[in-house]
Amino acid sequence: MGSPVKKIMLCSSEKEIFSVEEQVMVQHSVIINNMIEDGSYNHEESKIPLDCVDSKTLKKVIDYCTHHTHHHNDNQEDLEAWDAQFLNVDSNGLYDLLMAANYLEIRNLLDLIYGTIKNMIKGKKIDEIRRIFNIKDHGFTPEEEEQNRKEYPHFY
Amino acid sequence: MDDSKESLTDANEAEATTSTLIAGLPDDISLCCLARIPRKHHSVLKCVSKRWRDLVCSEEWYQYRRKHKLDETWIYALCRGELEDQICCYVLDPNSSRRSWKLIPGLPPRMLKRKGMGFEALGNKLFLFGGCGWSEDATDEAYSYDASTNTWVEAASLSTARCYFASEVLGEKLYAIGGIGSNSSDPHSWDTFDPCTNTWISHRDPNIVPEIEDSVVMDGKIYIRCGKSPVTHRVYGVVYDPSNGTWQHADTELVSGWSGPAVVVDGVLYVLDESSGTRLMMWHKERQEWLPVGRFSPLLTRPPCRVVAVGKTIFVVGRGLSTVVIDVGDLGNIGKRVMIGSSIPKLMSASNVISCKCLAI
Repeated sequence: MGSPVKKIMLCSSEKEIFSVEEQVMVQHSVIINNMIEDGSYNHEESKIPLDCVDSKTLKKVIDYCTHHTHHHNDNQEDLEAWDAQFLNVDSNGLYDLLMAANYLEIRNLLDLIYGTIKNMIKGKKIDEIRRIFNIKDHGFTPEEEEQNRKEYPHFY
Repeated sequence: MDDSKESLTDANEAEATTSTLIAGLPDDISLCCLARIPRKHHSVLKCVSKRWRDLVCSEEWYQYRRKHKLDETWIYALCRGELEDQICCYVLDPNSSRRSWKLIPGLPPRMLKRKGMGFEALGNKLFLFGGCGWSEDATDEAYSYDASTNTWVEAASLSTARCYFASEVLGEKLYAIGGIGSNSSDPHSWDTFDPCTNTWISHRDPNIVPEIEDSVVMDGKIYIRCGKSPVTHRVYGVVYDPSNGTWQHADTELVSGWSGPAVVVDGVLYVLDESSGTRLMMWHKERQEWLPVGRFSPLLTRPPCRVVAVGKTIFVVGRGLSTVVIDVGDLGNIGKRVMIGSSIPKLMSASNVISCKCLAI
């Protein structure tokens, strides 16, 4: 067998250390790929501090990258089913993932979350969208709200 | 945000609850998410909250969608209703699964009865300018329609009142060229509008003439087909090169075959010849000649038509906005065969299409 799998250390906001296959993160995260490429990551001593990503979210992100690295040859249907199961989280969990994916620049995870948010809006009535996105005060004057309802009755 | 109408306490309260687009997300990330919602749902977004409405109507939204190639093109058609003899404006989402023309209400009342006006799309706005009426001289009035907010407002007036002129957009500027002006105006003039400075500038050139028939932009130049020359009795054209700001006579071969509405797709000029049936022609630059592309079934097109293109797809829009869609990307070789295209149903009311423009948001 060849050399052991190269690992990197990621440190969550709670200072918890996660050890991940380097290849998994390099393939998915533009930021980590750049750090490895430009030599700013030292395998002997450094760990990558991710101060704005908590342990729970970081674990999910690592799960995502690991699965998509090792199962990228799976058929599309299986991958999509896995993704759907993966994103079966509450909106706070979704936003945390979105922030982490944005910070680490994980393009395919970002696209997946964008698609999920699109589906949270598509075909929904205004009141549902407000509830889903926790918009308690829409900020319209009563006249404006009335005008919208008159102009687009089918949205309500 | 305009909070001027609200009392101070209301404003403070509103700030606490509506300060972010999506609670729990920074606004720049919310923008990344919301900007990916297809254009057909934008009016829904605008009803969700004032913050969402302001975002969808903002320059930031428009620029973000453009930069990330999320912008979607809709087609706008200016028509004249036959019965009421008034202009009206319709919009078509070419990617919708159930394509149909929808009326845009609220055209400026002063424009309704006018003829010979310019109609252009620049940025996220439509411009409607110039023209004249039955008992009214050429006007310098201009109006713009913001396709994000769906509102018409008065825009900066033309430097020169004109009607039946050529209008084009080139290099993010609006052009109003030639045509008929008032008695005092220079018949050899053209005006340009820069949206950054919101002003029109007047220019003159002896090659500009009052008799304008059609215009098109190709290879970064404006081509104008003029009426028959009083000297030679032949149709002639002029071409404007913005790099040196001069008007010159256009190639006579090109102008002689330019016998109908024109559109440029991927740098290739297509013309719809409606002299006998409806035939699509293309200008072959290297060979300097017009070649037939194909003929439309007379059952499909309802001339007189106007043409517009989105990507490699040409929309032939005829009476009652009856529309035939043909993809010139997969036409392959030229020929004389009958072309089959999908079609978009006509409106109930009889109307003649004056001009069609594309606007992407």
